[in-house]
Formats: sequence, C-alpha cells, structure tokens
Amino acid sequence: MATTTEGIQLERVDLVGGHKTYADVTNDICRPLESFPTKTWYIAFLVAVSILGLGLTAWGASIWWGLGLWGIHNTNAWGADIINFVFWIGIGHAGTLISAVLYLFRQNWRTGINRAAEAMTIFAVICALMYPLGHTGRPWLAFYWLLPYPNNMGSLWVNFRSPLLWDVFAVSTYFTISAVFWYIGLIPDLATVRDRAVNPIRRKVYGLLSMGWKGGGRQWHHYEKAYGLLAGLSAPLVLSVHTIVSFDFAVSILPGWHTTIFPPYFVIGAIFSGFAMVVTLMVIAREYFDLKAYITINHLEAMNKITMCTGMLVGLAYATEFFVAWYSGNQYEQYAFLNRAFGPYWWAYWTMITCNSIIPQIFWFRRFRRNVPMMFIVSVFVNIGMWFERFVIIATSLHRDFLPSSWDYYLPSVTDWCITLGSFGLFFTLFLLFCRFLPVVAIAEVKSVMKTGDSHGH
Amino acid sequence: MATNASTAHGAVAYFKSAAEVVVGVKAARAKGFVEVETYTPFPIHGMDEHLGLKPSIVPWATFLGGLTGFMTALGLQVWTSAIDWPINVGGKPYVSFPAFIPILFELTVLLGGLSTAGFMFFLNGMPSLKANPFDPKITDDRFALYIPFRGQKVGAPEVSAFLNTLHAEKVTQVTEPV
Repeated sequence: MATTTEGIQLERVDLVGGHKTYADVTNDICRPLESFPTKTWYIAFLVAVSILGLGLTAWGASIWWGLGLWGIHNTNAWGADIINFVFWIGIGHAGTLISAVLYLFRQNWRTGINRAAEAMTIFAVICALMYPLGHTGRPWLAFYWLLPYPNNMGSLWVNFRSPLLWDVFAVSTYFTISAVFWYIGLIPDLATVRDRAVNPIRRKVYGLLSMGWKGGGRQWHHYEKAYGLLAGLSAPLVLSVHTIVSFDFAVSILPGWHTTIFPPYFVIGAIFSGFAMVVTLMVIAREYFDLKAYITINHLEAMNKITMCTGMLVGLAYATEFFVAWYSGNQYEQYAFLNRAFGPYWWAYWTMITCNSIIPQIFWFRRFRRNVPMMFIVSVFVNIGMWFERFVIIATSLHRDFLPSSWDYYLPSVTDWCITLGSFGLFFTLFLLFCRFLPVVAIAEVKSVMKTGDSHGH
Repeated sequence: MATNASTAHGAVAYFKSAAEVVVGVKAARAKGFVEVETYTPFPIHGMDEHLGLKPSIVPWATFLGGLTGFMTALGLQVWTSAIDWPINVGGKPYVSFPAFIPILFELTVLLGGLSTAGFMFFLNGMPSLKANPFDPKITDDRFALYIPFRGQKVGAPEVSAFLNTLHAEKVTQVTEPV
C-alpha cells in the first residue's frame, strides 16, 4: 500500500513492553484513579502534607514577624529564598524539555514520561513562585509592585529595564503556557476516564474537565496542529525563562555574577537537575503504580544519558568560569572564584563539584545506567548538588564584596530551612494528588506509538 | 429500516484497529460519500489526508496572537518608559530597546500560545456539554467511521448497506445529533 510522504520508516523498537493491547493500556493507567488509595499512598501523603504544614507555618511566621527571621542580612540580601526559586524553576525545565523539545525531535519514547514530567514542571513552578512573592514581605500586595497598571501616582510604571521585571513576565508566561500545554495533552485522556466512569458524579466531573472531547478526525486534526504549535512555542520559552533568571545575576556588576556564560550555564543546569528529578519521581511512580511496561528501563537509561551529558556540560561551565576569571586579568573576578573554591564556603563548592561533576560519571557504565537503585541514588545526589550550585553562586558572590568592612558570612536560618523543606512538601503533596486524580501516563499518546497503532498497513 | 432512517442522523461502523478504519474511510470517499468522519482513541497518522481535510487554520491564531503580544509589549514598554513618565535609569536611553526584548518575547509567546489553545477549542466545538452519541469505547480501543445521511447522493439504506460491507465489528444508526 502506498504510504504518505513521510518516507521510509525502519522497523521500530516496541516502546511499550509486555505485548499490551489498547484496552490493556487504558486499564493499566486508569486503574490507580478508579480504586481507593493504598495505605502506602496515605502514609506518603500524610508525610508530604506534614512537611508542607511545617513550611506554611514558617511562611506564616515570616509574614507575621517579618523577614528578619531569615538568614539574610545587609551583605547577603539574597539567600535561601532566591536559591530555592532558581532551584525549583530549574526542576521545572526538564518537564518542558521532555514534552516540547523531544516532541519536536520526534522522540517517541517521551510518551511514557511526558505527562508526569509536565506535571512536575507545573508543581515546581508553583513552588518557585512562592519565593519571590514571599520575599516582597507582603505577598498580598506583590501584584501592585510587580505588574504595570494605571495608578493614581502618575501613573508610576514598573521599570522595564530591570531583569527582576523580566522575570515576572518570563515566569508567569512559563507557568501559563506550561499549564495550557499540559491541559491540552490531558483532554483526550480525561475523556477516556469520563467514558469509563461508573459513578455519575465522576462522569460529570471528568466530562466537564474533558470539555466534551469526542476524538473526531477533525478534532484530532486541529488538536495535533495546536499541540505542535504549543510545543514549538514552549521550546524557545523554556530556554528564555532560565536565561532571564540568569539575567537577575548576570546583568548586575558583581564579580561572580557578571558573566556572559550565565544564560547557557543556567539552562544546562536546569535541564540537568530537572532530568534528575524526573528520574527520582519516575523510579518511585513506576514501582508503585506498576507502570514498568510504560516507563521502561530504556526510558530510564535514556534519561540517565542526558543526566550525564548535561552534568558534564555543567562541569565545563564551572571550569570555563575559572578560566575566564584567570584570563580576564581582573583581580576582583579572580578573587571571587578563588574565594568560591578555597574560601570559607569551600565545603559548599566541593559538595557541588562532587555531586554534579563526579558522581554522574558512573553512568559511563551501561550496568549502572540500567540499575534502578543506583540511578535513584545518583538522581538524589544531583539534586543536592544543584541546590548547592545555586547556594554557591548566590552566597559566595555576595558575602565578600568590594568593601572588606562589609564582608560577612551567610547561612540559612531555621525558618529558611523550614520554608525550603516546606516547598518539597508542597511539591510532593501536589504530585501525590496528581497521581490519584489524573492519568500519570499519556494514554492516547502511548497508544499512538504502539506497534499495533501503525496505520499504514504495509 | 425506512422508519429508522427518517429519525436517524447517520450510521456508524465500529472497528478494532486503526488500519481498518483507514481502509473504510478510503472506501467511503471513493464511493462519493461526503462529510465522512472518524472517531478514534488517538490521532491516526495521515487521517487528515484520508478524510480530505484542508490544512488546519490554527496557525493563523498563533500568528495573530503572537503579533498582538509583540505589539502590545512594544507599545506598553515604549509608551510607559519614554512617553508617559520618562525616567532616567542608569543613563540608558528612554527607548532602551535591548532591555525591552525579554518582555517582547514573553508576551509574544504568551498571547500566541493562549490564542492557539483558544482557537483550537473554538474550532473543535469545545467546551461542549452535548451527550456523545457514540460508543464510549471510542476513547478506549474502538475506531468509528461515521457517515451522516444528510447531503449524500444516496439514501440512508445505501449508507448502512455500504458500512455493512466493511467487515466492521458492528454497524449502528445514530439517532442523536452528533
């Protein structure tokens, strides 16, 4: 039979294991949504909510008594809050990379993991957004300070030349577009859940959420076009977001921050940490929901390869910074970097180097790339390392500025740690709820890449 | 059959594989049936060509939305920074174009993306609370070929008879509006 114009396709490796039929796929992925949660889920949820509660208490205290509860001071005016902001935005980036960039490159293996990775993006951005809003001190007034709107002070407008304002636009756009992209991807699967529902209330709720999706040929026609366009918009968007986040530092004149390598360095670091977080979550989810046929060891191996590759790119960025500092001949720049590695914060710097540049090297060996406990441990180390990377950039560059009389030392306070932990509580609470109420694997997309789904009939 | 056909809107054949529904669509279009529609659990590669659909007009919404975002960002930044209340920031020009690029980009993407999604929903008749007249299995593992009775050169019995020739799993009449 004559095929369409896409050219020759070689025999594909089956992306879904275990000889599944379409109905098996639907059943396997919908089952966790249609049964009562297990004891393990309740325990995990209870733990996550408790940690979130600790974080909210710390936030409450910070708002009630003020930001004096944080470790920041005149010298280190930025601390754990900005570290966590950059950390969480970075985590989010892997989700968009998997969903949009791998889609554009026709990497069909992404279908097993893209839904959960996109959910991770949205939850991570929510975690990130708390920090700059909280750092204003009066978050309920933050929108008056952050957004341009006509007012009776002139109008007095926001400063469009400030990277902090670019951030407002970048992060809110990122959140909105990621959420829309995710939701559009969910619609056919929500319709699947709706059509399986026995309980009328459940059918109603999922019916509303799926917006009356029917799966018509004309619907798919527009749907696929819109999905591709959103992927095309998301891909440069994700690069722009961490670029702009890096401008918060690079546009300043502080040695250690004022460097042109920051945008690619931040973007690569974001992908690195994000992929590690995807591995952390996927290893747990595939075990717990028995999705090993959909999130296969090959998926995990592919992610580990990306983790190692981006880890080495991050290592290259660390080395380049030192080279440029030496080559610039600028004593302040040189001091900032020597101080970073061998000054009072040496412990943070070498934690970062160990976790980010040394530990992932284990993935040179296929045996370790395909070893689930091993990759779980490495992914946790990478996340610790990437948290420390932001700590190193922010704390060490600020603590010794041009004037030795104002030199100081920064450590996060107890409140800072509680808020930091709390954001992990929020992240896992949202993720656990997601696993209960929405399909964790993109059902329609998985079916479309199954071998039986090949419609060409050759 | 005749009484049925007078109240029915069309006939639908259900298949178990994507390949069968593609064969069915090709046969139906070759027979001269118009407004042929498929209902499938996932998008089938090349179905738009088989159905004879024109390229989707969704990209126009992306373009116009993106253009609106770009112009809005440009107008907003230039007007507020240089016209409404010019403020000297670090000796930079009032219209400091390089500093305006990030927000130009972000608003272009924001409005481009939102209009893409909104227009896609509009074209697909979503949100809709209408009951779906088809077998709920079409979001699971069934592939439907639907031919409306109105507008065909032949009568309803011929449409049903044609669908019966396709070796479908089942052929039924659709009495509710689609």
